[in-house]
Amino acid sequence: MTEARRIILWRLVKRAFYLESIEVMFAVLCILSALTIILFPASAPVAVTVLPYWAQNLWASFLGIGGILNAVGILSGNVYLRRAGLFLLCGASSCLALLLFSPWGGFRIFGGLTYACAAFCVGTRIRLLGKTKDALHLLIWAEEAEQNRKRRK
Amino acid sequence: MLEGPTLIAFASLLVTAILAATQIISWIKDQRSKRMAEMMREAGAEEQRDSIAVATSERAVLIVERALVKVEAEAVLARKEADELRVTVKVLERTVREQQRQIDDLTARLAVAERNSQ
Repeated sequence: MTEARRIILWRLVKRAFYLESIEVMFAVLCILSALTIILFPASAPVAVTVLPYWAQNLWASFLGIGGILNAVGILSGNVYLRRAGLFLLCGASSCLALLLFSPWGGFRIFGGLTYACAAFCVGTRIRLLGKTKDALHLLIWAEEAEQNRKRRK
Repeated sequence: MLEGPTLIAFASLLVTAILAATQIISWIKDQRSKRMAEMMREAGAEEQRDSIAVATSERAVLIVERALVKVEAEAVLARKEADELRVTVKVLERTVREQQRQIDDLTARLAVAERNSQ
């Protein structure tokens, strides 16, 4: 990796952590939990253990792929990838919420509400990203243009 | 067959997978439209370059035509001048011939006069 590329990548990572710290943390947590569930199936949430093995892995892969897409989208500034990743994370959390609310999950209302809230938050984030997609891009471009102008001076 | 919790999980995951896939598809479409726009911009630039080249060559032709007209006018003037000079030369030749004749005449007369005086 050349020096310039390393600097650009580092800047992207820094910007992602400054602007989208909570989303990055969420994505990293999802990737880590997906890896844990796939490698150690016994560590899966109780509600997920009622599912067959392949469905557990499918759920975990939704978490992992969603987290990766979201992280890549944040790093590359690609709103479509971010939204795709968030859709997958929303699906995984709403699935868990539904399972917790269901008789197979033991009617765990508080646990279900927690994951339902997570799904709702991710949903609103998806909506917000869709609405402010162009505005966000414009802001970042304007900021970069301003910095470049200052650097040239 | 799917039943119970698996059905719930599968349904919710399927719906969100479809939504995520639509995002990926719209991203690909966006990329394609961006590429198309870039190609259009490039084509526009090429057209502009062509038009500039055409305008430049037209200008060059105009300049050459103007220079040609100038040269032709100069050539006409020079031809006219040459004609005038030729006429002048002819007149001068005639004058010289007449004067030569006069000189011959005078010389002959002088010779006659000398012979008579002897």
